[in-house]
Amino acid sequence: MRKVTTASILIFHFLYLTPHSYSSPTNTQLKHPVFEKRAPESPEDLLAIEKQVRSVLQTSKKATVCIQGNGSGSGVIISEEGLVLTAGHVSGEPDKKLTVVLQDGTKLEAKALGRSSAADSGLIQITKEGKYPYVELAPPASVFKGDWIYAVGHPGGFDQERGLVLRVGRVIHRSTDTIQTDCKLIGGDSGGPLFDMLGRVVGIHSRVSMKNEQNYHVTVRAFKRDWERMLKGNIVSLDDSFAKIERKGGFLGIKRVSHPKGILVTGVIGNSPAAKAKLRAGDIITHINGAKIENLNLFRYLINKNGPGDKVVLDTIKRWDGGNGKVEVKLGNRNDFIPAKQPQNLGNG
Amino acid sequence: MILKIRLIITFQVLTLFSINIIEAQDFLDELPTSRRLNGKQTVKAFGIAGDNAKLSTITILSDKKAIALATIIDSDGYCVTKASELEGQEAFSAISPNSEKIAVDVLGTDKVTDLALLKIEPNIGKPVKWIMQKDYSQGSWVCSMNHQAESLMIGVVSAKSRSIKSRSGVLGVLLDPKDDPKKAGVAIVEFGPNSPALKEGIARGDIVIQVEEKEIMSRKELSDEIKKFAPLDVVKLKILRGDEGIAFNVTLNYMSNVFDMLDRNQKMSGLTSKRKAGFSDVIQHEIPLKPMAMGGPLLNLEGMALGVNIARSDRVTTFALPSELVLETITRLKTNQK
Repeated sequence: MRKVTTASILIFHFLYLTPHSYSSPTNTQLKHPVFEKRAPESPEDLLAIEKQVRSVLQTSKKATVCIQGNGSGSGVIISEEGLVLTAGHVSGEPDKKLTVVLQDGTKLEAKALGRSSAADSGLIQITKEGKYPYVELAPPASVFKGDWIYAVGHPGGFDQERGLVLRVGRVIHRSTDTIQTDCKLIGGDSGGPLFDMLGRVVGIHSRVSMKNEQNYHVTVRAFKRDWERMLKGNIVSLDDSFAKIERKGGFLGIKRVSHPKGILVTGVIGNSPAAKAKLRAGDIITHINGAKIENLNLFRYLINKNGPGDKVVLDTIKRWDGGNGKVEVKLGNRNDFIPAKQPQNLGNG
Repeated sequence: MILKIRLIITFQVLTLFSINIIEAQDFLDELPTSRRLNGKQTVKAFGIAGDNAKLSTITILSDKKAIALATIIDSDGYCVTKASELEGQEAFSAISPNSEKIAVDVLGTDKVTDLALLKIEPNIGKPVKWIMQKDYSQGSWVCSMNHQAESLMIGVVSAKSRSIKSRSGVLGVLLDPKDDPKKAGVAIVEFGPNSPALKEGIARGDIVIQVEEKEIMSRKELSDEIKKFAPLDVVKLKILRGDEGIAFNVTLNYMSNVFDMLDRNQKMSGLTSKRKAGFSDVIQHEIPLKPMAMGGPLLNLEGMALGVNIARSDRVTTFALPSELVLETITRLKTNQK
């Protein structure tokens, strides 16, 4: 009996420790063990990182550009036709004429497409036709805390003699819209690319913090979310970002917080569709119509894709009844439960 | 029954509370400092290179304040440091790699490279082993000791090796944008931070009519004249205040101490070196060193010295003089000694 217990503890530990090193799909493509270590342990480990960066750096540099027009920023070409990813505050107003400068100093006419003022993502199109050097975009959310990454850009503006400036570091934190790294950034770097060890773009330099080695990049996920609208030249603001893209107004009627397994219901509004479906505080919702709820934003998005009267199937873990189950809910109309905000009267009253 | 409900409520509150804590942890779920680029674990991986850096670096003190680092170049006790960090300082002493207080003499300085030759007692620490290589590859790991040689800091060679054009000294004045071609002289309308002109008693509204022997007719003429001088050069100015002509001798300041203070990128860079330009060759790297950490060696992963750190330029840039240039300068300074 005791032996069995010990064995199960060992297995538990094994499971507990391994996901960390295998969390990143990028790492499985990198052969050297340093990419699965918590930190490099020897000069050989460090050399492996250096070699990996050098093996992809030249390609990265060819696709990295300086963008002039709203001050001087950086960007990265991600298609042969010359689509450029940059920061929203570098691309600026849609349709504005900008100049893109390649590594060798070649100046190209370009124009701003759309941007997101919420995420600070922006797109630019080189308008002169040609075949441009470009780099691959990493899949959304493919970079993880602790991953080795490198930043390239034109800090302080274009300088032919100096060339592009490299910085190497690690991912400190990642959220939906932002990657935080210890790569050092300064004015002029904005819009420049952050690469994973395979030379794929995982982020775009956006903001600096007071601390030198703590800076912020926009995620690929944030770009992809607003992609179509930015291509059309729209400005995406905080109000209409993500959660409101397809706001059809379907209403469930719960208060909730995020939970490792989905979302945790913390309250249910009386008579709401959630109440009728017997959802209660303490229940966990893991899926909506089969789609896994990875965070609160996704939950809001998935509910809002549906209008009043639409039926959705929730996968739930019930606190009170026990066990897992599927619950079908007919969504209501938000306005029946939460009165729409009336414009404030600023007149004589 | 009441008890049961109370239990349930308590349980639920506790559950929610713990969830909130998990959320808070998630929010703070950052990579531990020790595992970051300049964290203890990562830096430790440098091994021998790190040991070498520590053993060949001394800290230079002026009165008890650490003002620079220096590189031990041989067992006779010769060292080099950044010369401009010694300007205006006195009562020098040093701290050895073993944290002992030692005496240090300044034997000579070289304005061109901004290096100074120092002498400490023989057989202190471990002299650097130089490696001569003209252009270091971007991405090569490098390490140096930080301020007061307290800890090792690491980074990579971040850009091409090249020369950095020199910057002239400055008066620290803003001039009247309206040039009147009929009138001689240019009016001063404002002063920059740490303006040496203001310090000498020049006032707003004063008109600069002469720099050294040259009469000034326009803004451009004034700026061209001043550009001929280096920081700390003393420049003779003739000023018209009302009807009175007054002569001033102004010691020009470093651009870094004056107009850089207004520059956005410099503002976000923290402390930088006052002399960060006018080098015939530099290696650019990203190690975030303080300006008081200049003068120490820059080592590669094998523990060989690529050069000597010479300037903290901005938030992303540190310059080192390559070993070849350092050795040439040492030879020159030693010859001048004899």
